[in-house]
Amino acid sequence: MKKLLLFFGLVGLLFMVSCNKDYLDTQNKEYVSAEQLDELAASSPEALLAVSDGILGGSYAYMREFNTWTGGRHDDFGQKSIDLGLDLMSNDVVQVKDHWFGNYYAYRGRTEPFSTTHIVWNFYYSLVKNMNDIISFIPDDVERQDLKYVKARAMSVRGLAYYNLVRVYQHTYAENQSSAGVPLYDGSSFDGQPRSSVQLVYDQILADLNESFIGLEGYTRGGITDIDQSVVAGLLARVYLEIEDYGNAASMANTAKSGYPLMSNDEWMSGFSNINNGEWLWGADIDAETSTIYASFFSHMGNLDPGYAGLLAVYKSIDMRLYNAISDSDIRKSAFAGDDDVDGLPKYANKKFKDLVSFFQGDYLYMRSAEMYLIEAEALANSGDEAGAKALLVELIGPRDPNYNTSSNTGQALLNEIYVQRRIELWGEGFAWFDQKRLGVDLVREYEGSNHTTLGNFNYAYNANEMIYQIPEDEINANDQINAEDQNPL
Amino acid sequence: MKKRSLLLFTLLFVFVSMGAQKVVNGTVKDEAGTPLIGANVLVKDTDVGTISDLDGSFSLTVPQGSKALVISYTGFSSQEINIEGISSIEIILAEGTVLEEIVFVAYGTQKKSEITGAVTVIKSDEIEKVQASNVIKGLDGKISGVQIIQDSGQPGSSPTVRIRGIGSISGSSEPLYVVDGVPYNGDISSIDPMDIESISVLKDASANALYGHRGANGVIIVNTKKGKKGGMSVTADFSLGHITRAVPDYNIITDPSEFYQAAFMASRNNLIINEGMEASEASALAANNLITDVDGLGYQIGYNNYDAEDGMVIDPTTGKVRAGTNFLYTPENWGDYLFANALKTKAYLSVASGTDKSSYFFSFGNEQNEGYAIKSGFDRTSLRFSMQQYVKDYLEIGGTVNYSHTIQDAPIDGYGSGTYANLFNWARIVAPIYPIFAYDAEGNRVQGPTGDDLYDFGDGKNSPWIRTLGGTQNPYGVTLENIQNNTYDNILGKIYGTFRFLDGFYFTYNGSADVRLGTLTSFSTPIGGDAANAGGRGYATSTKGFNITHQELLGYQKDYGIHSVSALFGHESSSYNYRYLRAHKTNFLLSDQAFLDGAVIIEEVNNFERDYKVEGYFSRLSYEFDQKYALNLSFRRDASSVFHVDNRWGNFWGAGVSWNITNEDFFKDVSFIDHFRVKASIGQLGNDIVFYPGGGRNYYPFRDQYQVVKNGDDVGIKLVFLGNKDLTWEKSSNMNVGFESRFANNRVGLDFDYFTRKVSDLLYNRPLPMSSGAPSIPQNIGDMTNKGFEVTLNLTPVKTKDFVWDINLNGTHYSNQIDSLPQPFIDDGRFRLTTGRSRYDYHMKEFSHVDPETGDAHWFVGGLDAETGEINPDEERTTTANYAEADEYYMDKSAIPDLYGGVSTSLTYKDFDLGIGFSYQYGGFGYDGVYYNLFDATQSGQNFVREVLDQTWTPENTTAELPRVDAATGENFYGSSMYLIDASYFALKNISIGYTLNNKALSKAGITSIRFYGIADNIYLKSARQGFDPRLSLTSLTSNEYSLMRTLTAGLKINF
Repeated sequence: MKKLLLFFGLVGLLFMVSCNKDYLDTQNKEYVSAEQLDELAASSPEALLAVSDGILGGSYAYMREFNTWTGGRHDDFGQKSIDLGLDLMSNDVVQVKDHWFGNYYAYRGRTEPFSTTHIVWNFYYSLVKNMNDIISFIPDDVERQDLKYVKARAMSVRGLAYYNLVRVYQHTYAENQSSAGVPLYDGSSFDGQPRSSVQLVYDQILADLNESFIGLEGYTRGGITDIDQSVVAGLLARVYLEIEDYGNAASMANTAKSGYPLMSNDEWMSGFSNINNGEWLWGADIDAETSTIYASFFSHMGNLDPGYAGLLAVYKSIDMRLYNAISDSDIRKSAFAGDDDVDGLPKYANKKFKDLVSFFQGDYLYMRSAEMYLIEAEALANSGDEAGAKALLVELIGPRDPNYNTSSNTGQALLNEIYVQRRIELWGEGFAWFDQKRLGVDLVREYEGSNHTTLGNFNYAYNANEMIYQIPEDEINANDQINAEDQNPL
Repeated sequence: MKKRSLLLFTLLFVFVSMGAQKVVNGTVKDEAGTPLIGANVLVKDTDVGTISDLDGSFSLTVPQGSKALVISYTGFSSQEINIEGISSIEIILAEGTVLEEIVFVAYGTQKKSEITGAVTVIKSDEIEKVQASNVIKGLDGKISGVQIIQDSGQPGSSPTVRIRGIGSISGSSEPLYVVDGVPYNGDISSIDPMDIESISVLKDASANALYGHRGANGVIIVNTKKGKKGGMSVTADFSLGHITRAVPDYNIITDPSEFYQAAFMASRNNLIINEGMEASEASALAANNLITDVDGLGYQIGYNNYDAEDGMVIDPTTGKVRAGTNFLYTPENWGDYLFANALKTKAYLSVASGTDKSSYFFSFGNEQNEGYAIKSGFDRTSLRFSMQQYVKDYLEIGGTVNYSHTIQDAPIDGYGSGTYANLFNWARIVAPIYPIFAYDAEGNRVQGPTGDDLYDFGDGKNSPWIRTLGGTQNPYGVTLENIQNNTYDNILGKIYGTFRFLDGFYFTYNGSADVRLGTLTSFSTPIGGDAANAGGRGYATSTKGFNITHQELLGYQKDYGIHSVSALFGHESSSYNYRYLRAHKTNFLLSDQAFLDGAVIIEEVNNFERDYKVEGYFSRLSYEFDQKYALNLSFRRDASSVFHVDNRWGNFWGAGVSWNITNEDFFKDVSFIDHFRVKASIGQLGNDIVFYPGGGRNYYPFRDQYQVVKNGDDVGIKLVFLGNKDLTWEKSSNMNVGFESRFANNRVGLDFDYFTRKVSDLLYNRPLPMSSGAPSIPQNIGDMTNKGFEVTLNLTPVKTKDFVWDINLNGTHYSNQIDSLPQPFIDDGRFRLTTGRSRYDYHMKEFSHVDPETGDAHWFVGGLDAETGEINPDEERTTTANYAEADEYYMDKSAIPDLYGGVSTSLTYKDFDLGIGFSYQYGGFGYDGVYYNLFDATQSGQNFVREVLDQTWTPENTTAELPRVDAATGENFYGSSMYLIDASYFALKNISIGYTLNNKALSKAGITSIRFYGIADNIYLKSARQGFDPRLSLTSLTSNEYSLMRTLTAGLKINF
């Protein structure tokens, strides 16, 4: 009897040692879970602000991060890698040999299986997703002004993302409004969406940016790593220029540049790597911790920096024609190696971008006021105010080139002059390829004496199939709304 | 009177009997005719007997009336011989069935005859021969149904193990490891192979069901040695090994002149084809600019090893180094410096003792393996103590403590396949014209201020030349200063108590704590290489894996005559915590010291924890009738913290039956078949291992996870992984039918199993449209089936007292098929997951031919059905030289082999023994990207394979099978079906020889035996291409991995 009791006692023990009901509940201590965020956001408006602002801040960080897609590619470090890559598809930037970014320069990367198109597509749609999170996180009728500001800033980033996407995956707006653009998402589901027309995409872009511009009235940002009304004005100026709404382009550019005086000649020659430059409207602050080291802009672009360009001699150079177009008295010419370069670089290699003070901690430039001068000038010239345009050119170029005088050009010649100045001033800053598409300038790299290398020595019309990217293979495979027949031609 | 007469009568009878005695003469032999010395010969039902002599013969006087003799001999079946009317006989003894074998299974042991599932057991004598530091690595080809992929030759590294096919698409397919009864989270390489008594591999549901939640991919049970009742024994083992590289590299160019020739060819090809030059003009220009690009061709190799002017090294008319040109200096061969022969030593001592009251086991082991790559190695020191105390006849308690300290130096750890710092990559890609040490323009070594030879970093600082490949890199000099050290302290402690009560009941508690502390140091020197410009870069990492498991088992075991019954009920809970702390600094004072206090810039600090808990209830019922029929039923209900609270619990089960036909009465007369048992099992198991899309185990896949990122000094938040609350167990339904048999007096053994594994609700990170901004979501999607068979044949062609020859052959075939997917297909790089095809079916651009005019590679394009993406026979395929334009096709080739397994043989002659083991794989295709990278000329200064010289297209060799090597474009050698290669191989895995001395003289000295042995490991590989080792990857995808080691070991083992 005793033993029988013992037996049942032990059986009982077996189940008594069963663990507590919450034994299996574990907490995230590496990534933060959605529950933890929701709980935090619900705890107070300040916490909601911290979370929303955090998501926005996370996206600023994402814009300069290594490996935004997958595969650990050294040509994938966010916005500046795309800027550099797309520049390498233009007439103006030369890559001297096949290496990282060769996929851009050789026009391979635009085709559907390549990592390049995946990187570009994924980068901007990740931004869209994160901004949609913020926009839906913060109720439309939110009272607090600081939360409204967060929402407004998020809208501008979403607008920027769509703007870059639609320009990469389709020809320019003019004459292509009804062509297939890119899919639009409002954050309500992860279901794949079809390609919206170019017009609809631009409608969304303008809606986002305009709402953002209005919403940021009175907002003072903490630093230029953040977006404020000036930056949104700059983005709007870009978009209006693209859609040839010159009146709005000029006024927005004018708004954007106010308060951001042009830099001095010394600053111009100091490498474009310091966020404290008063001309910068928007940028990213790179330090030891945020540096992506060899997979970074200055590693690839800085021919004098100890990275791919400087160490492995994968130089990024200026097109010979553009180099020759720079006046000899223009200090900007010395930003490129001439004959017998003092730093031992081959002719045409750029010295504009350099980060010599620290080991790949050069800051990233997203927007500066010189661009706004050029947008305003171009918009004014197009809307008949040639005198205004010329005055802006003098203001911009005069300090760089002592021999520069008020232009005597008019009409198309003036527009051409503005375009050449735009190419010189903004060389390597991510505008050249988009400008060619916008202005109908063919890709011509094969010409007498060309310094383009075999890798990229070919010509395409500005509206050739090659001038738009193919939608990445992974998107077509996973999105049942976009099929092979919706693909851009090879 | 009566008594007396009785006595008398008896005496008389005895006398009479004695008078009637007869003598029987005979010899006792085994089946091979070898005399058996010392066999017992006994008159039946008496104690009259004798033993056989040196010739196996005996002479026995048997009492009158005795009808039979019983002859017995250890290890042989006893035999009864009728001696009526016989005075001289020859007795042949057949090898007998030894004691019923006990096999370690889930939560205990079972008699082999009771096992209804598929279990393979590897014993200590086999384990002792393993030369790899991780014992599992040495077992490839030894266990049917199990694929052991070496992954890396790095000493101390772990293999990839696949039991019966592929368990999951993006969950884990790795088996569960159980050490001494407790699921083990550590690394098997922390256990000294000499401490292992046996390894049981459980392969089917009947065997695994008790590990329900983690048994889906098979279970490997490691049992360590324990003290045994009956005296003390001491074992000492010492060995010394010589280590070399096992597999020769690809046929790369090692002669500088051949490299100049190949580079010239690449440059010239470019000028002729891309620039449209005349051949003679192109030759002159290419030769003139080969070393220094004076004309701006965009291609130069920078170094001139010769006493000729840069432009004069190559003779443009021959394409070869100009006659009469001499070496200014001879560049060192990088391979000779990066890979050096090395030593391995092992020492082991164990003491085992046991009485009726208690037993204990103590061991100490040390292994030091230098590895043949510089700065690589593995060093393990382990201590083990275990004891059992039989407190009362109903109470037994005991415990085990194992401590091991492992130090691994892994110089290529963290350096991807394509990085310059990866020694194996660098040795392949660095052109033989680039020296390790710096030379001046006169060809003399450059010395530093202390008189040391300076390294050449290729950056023009120590020597006058600029290397076009890897400027600032010198992986030899840098690796010597760098540190890549992984040190672990592993502590495994276990206690148990067993309480027996009533008749046949027992209750056992097992408690175990398993701690694995990692101290990882990574340091990149400032003298050169990646961290040169950062002033050196160091990481100090601490990791802690801590696991606590409790088991409560209530069991019942009883034999009722011919009925044998056992039952087990249990509860198990397990809690695992992993903690990680890492700091990263740059700008060091010293060039070869990694301590972070010696540096000034803090780069990052990381710290996180991960938790994982499981809990389960389980039961097993076994019943065996008359050693003929056996039945096993198992059930387990498990919960895992990996799933949402609503989807946590899963039910798993297994059922098996077996029938031992040879124990049936009607089978008694069949003498040819000694043993025949059929068995069948079914069951369902689970898998809860989900990975993040980029790798690493996801312990919280049901939650959306955000990363906190730095945004200036503010907190940034970024969604990194989407979660899925509906996620639940992946289920694996297994079926096994098979038989085990022995024939011809146990000389032939044949085991066969047919199996199916149907995996449903696959754990998969389903890709979302990229445009949704979320990369993927973990889901239970799709089904997959593995089907196959495994067969083991054991032969004993010769068996005499002095000479035994055994042969073992095993082979496994399986096929894998995806049964359903949530979308038409999933693109997985080289593979495409499609319903009806296997997980590893190649789908890629298909190489067609080389254009004889231009040497361009052509790939197929078109001919695909727009709907299905499959080849449409009605549409014509064409070819294109534009890689981007080429389509991807189903290649009808799989990475899964048709057959794999091993062959081993052992011979024992008197005190000598010899063992030889082979492993093989037949069929399947690999993807040899490393090889084809060595045709790429666009990275000037990168080396080539010698095939470049005579097997690629040139204007003069227009019929070559391989396309043009071109300095300006690498497109011709972009990834395609060209890279596929037959992954069949045949490997001579090991040879062991031994001589064991055990005689009276020794035993007087207190020594039981002395054994001298030699083992050669990884001796030979035959694969489709020199340098291609299909054993290093499951899919035979080549990467620049630490190639396998060859070890030649001599050792001595003494037993006291």
